[in-house]
Amino acid sequence: MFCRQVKRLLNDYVDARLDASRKQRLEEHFASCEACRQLSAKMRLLRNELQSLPHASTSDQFLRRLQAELPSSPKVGFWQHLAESWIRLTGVPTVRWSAAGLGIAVLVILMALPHLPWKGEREQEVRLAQSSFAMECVEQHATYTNDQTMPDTITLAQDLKEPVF
Amino acid sequence: MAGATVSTMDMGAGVGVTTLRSATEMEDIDLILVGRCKRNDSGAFEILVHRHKNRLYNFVYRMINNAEDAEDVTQEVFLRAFTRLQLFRGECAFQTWLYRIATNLCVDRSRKIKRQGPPPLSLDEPRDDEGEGNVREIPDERSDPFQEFARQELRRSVQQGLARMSPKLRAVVVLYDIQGLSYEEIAQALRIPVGTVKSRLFNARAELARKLKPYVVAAQ
Repeated sequence: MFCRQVKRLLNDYVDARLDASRKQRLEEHFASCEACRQLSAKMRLLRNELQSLPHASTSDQFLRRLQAELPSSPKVGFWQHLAESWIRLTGVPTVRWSAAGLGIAVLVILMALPHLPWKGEREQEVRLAQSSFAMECVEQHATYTNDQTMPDTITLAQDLKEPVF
Repeated sequence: MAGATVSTMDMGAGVGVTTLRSATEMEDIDLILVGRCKRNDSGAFEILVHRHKNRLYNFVYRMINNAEDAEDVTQEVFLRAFTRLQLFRGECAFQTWLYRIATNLCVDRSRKIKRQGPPPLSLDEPRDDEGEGNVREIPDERSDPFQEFARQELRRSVQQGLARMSPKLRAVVVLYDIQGLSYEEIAQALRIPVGTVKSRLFNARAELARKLKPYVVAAQ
């Protein structure tokens, strides 16, 4: 038997729950392994000590203090009831559900971002900037080449209806 | 572990019972009392408190190692149990349910204390190594002084070891070795698999064992 296997059985050995054959194999191992024998002896000693610790009791004022703080009836609020029922149903604490919900909400917002209503306004701004820049280029070109065919003003509305690019 | 128990209890309404009861019978009585509480019988909850207060207090005391705080936490356990009684469906024993609430409160308290840092030392408070809270142990002069010293050292090691252990391991070793719950009951109380209970118990015992000095073992 290896030390690793012994450790798996040590709780049951200390609590005297092992069957005779396993107990014998374990004790054979102890004869040749000082570390496991020591650990077993210490664990048995500890178990006995823990079981012999004196039991503490509440003070005389305990009940009086508790009675003063107890509400009149054991009824719970609606939301608390709902949360607890949900936990009982799913076995998952509300904190985890909240975290998961938050994560999903962020994901949905990120996915919906390109389709949000203000997207059109943003596109218009971009197109306006693009067309202004294009017009500046054209005007510059016309200046250099003395082109007189360029109109003096081009309205913004025309830009938007018929983009240069 | 939670086998037959000798109990002296006052069932209230003039019913006094002193008898040898099995764990199942005790649980049945708890369920009846819980049912009465749910029907707004305030006396029934008082009986439940009477039945469980000392065991629960002992558990909390071993978990937080401070007599006054232990009483406050035990009060909080019963208050929570009372306000959430409608949610108790009897899927586990009432006592197991109380242990679950108590463990959660003790773990929360440990986290809070860890965040706040260690409390300042007080000259008025008894030292950690003076044993059971306010109780100072007087050595028995008749026994062998070395053996007596080794016994005290063992108790001190156990108490210090428990106090420094992580609350998760501490809960398992206190529930099993001190409170006498079975693996299955602990698994229900802590909402962990039975295999985890066994491994935590081994780790907790091994951690305590590592802190024992050789002469303590030799003297026993």
